[in-house]
Amino acid sequence: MIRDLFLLWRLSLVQVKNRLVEMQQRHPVILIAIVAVGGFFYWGYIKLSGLLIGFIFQQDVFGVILLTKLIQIMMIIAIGVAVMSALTTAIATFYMSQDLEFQFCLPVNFDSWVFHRYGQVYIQSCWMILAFGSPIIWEFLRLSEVPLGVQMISILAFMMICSIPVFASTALSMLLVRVFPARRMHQVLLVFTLVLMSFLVFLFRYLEPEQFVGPGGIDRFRGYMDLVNVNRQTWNPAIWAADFITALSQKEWMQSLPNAARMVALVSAIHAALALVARRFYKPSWDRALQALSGEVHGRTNQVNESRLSKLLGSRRWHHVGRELLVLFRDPSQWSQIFVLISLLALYLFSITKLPLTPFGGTRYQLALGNTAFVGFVALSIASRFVFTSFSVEGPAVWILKTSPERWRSWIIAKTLVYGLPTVLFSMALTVGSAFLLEQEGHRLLLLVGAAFWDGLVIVGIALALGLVFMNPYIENPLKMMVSPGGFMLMATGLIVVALHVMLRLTHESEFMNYLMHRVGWPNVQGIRGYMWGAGLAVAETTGIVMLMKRGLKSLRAGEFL
Amino acid sequence: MIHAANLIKNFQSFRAVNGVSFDVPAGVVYAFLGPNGAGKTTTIRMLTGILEPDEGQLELFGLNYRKHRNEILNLIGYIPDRPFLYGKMTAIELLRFLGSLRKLDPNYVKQRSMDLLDKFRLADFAHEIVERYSHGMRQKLVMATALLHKPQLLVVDEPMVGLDPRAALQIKQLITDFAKSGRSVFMSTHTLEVAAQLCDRVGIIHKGSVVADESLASLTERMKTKDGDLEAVFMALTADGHEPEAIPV
Repeated sequence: MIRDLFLLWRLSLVQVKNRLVEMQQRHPVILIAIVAVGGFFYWGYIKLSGLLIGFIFQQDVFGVILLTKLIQIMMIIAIGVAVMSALTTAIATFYMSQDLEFQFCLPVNFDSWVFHRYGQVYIQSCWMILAFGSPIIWEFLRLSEVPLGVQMISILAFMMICSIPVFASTALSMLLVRVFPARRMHQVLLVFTLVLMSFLVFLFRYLEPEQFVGPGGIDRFRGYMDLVNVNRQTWNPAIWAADFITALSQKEWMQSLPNAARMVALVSAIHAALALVARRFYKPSWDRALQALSGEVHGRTNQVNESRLSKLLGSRRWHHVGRELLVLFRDPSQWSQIFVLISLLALYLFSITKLPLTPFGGTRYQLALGNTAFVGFVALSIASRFVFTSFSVEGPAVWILKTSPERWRSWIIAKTLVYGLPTVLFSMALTVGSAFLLEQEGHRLLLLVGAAFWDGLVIVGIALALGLVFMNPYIENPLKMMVSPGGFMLMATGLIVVALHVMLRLTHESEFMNYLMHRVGWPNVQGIRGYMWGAGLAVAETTGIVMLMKRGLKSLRAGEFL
Repeated sequence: MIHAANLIKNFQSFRAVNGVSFDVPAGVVYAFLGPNGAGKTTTIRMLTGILEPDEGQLELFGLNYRKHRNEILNLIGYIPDRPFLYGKMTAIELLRFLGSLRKLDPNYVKQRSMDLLDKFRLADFAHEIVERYSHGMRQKLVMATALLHKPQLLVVDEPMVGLDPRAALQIKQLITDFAKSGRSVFMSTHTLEVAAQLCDRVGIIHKGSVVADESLASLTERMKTKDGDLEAVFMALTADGHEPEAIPV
């Protein structure tokens, strides 16, 4: 069994290595850019989180308590995010992978095969959680002055705890496919999404985040943290992990042992259970996995009604737009996340209406400017899911466009209209909505809308350009694009751009912010200088996007992705 | 109809096509043969605009590919070896979309689509999304898409893969009729019987270079093999000192 598992992993690792070597040979500049931008972004994240953790840690008594609570909440959030992420990844990995047919024929141990796939699901759905969660734990323990080995054991505990949601999602996907056809799983997931959405609504309104803003907000936050008494949840593995790490941070080695034992026992049990679940539920549904890869029409028809969109396909000007919309609306895996986004935004706007505005006085405009950071982040999330993946979702059928007598321009324009334009409009609408609620009007409202337009445009531009450069028509699930090197590059670049824009606006508007930031090397952007820096940034961004776009078009014309 | 001279295509340090030259006149079925990895699909992809040649001259219908790409592609119908299509569209929608891409009259597209789907026995599934089609049905639909605009040149990569004997017979007839109407077929295949049965002219590519480009009759005469014995010709021209050995079973 171990030998087979080792062989399967070697197969995966060889593929990863070959992909890297191929990238290094074909796109050395892009690889260097990924490493540079990604490295810079991650370094920035580690530094920033280090500063924040350090600041909290310095607060007498309250600091350590707050950090303990934060670690507890982080563990719970990590498990929640991993459940959703692993569910879609498990379905793609266990049921939709193109190499299933090949691997089913291999004389490898079934348990090894399951654990190999499970490992893939774990890595694909948790690597970001681990990458962004680990520095927080590491810094907390470093400040607590515990030995290096203890810090490493804590990270290991974090990794162990993430395997629980991955197991739960994998098992759930196997159970679901026993009931529903694998091909219809995206529709089933839509129901899950709606349930999650309802849960988020409940959680968000329960939290009432607006109460933490303004004078006295920090006291209310402290009160809230006391209220969130997760210590009572002795059944919760996330709390075991958090308490284990806290005990280690306080060098209470003996107190950490019960939680360590619980975690090891549970993780061992779930891995044993995984083998049982797979034998009981996955093995009999292999045919369903294979059926998901091939056609299902056998003499019976399930006709699709003509819609206005399908009539648009006959239009000479709008045929690309018609096809994009048609495919988007017929594929629930594409549009189901829109529900979550819209509900979250409605909640956000609703929370702003509850915000006590009086204490902010003249700084409301700065609050509105700060709000553009949130809007930018939302635009980036939408762009990474819809704009960036829009070229790759074309799939291997892209040969149809390659052999058609049309210019690529019309295709790219259609992608921009269907995915890019709504992203920009959405971020503008969100800015207008929150600006109205923050009682901004006149030229300030116009400036805010202009800011959202600039942010949205740059984000969409980067997403389109990187989407072209990293186009992969053979990807099994577009969601995988978001956690690919290209997706990481987009998130890193997008966050840097949003941070630069927002900081430029805030330091331009506030003398105090400008003074503070100037002390850490930020240029003085007060007065006319702010506009000059803004113009310079816009030129640099436009140049970068145009260069990337040209690179993407070149690879598209040459058919490099084939 | 096709004039290819010294076509070269590199993939990094690997030269997939090394100075390929051939001519395909009108009204001819041209079989393009070669062992695996010889450069057949790369050549076909250059003919159909999917890949750009790094060097060499490629003219179709007397037009240069670099200057008249769209005009050329409007005259070509392409049937790839693997029938990848838009899974979320119905057959009729797909044909309508392709009609728009080629700027065809919508009424013509409607009429022609139904006609083609009927001939390929797909009319009952015209409003079914392609995702639910079997491999053979998709292959037939790809053929319908290739014929929608009544092309002057049909480029076919492995025409018989995935087809049942009845459909295969229909395709053979289609290829013959197509050439008889004064148009040409450029066909890549590993099935030498099909090539020998249908083709007027044979091109054999080996290690990225064309080693034969003539009629089947002159080729067999030159190679002194039995009349029409394409297999013997193929084996002789693509011999590289590593002849197929018996596989231990």
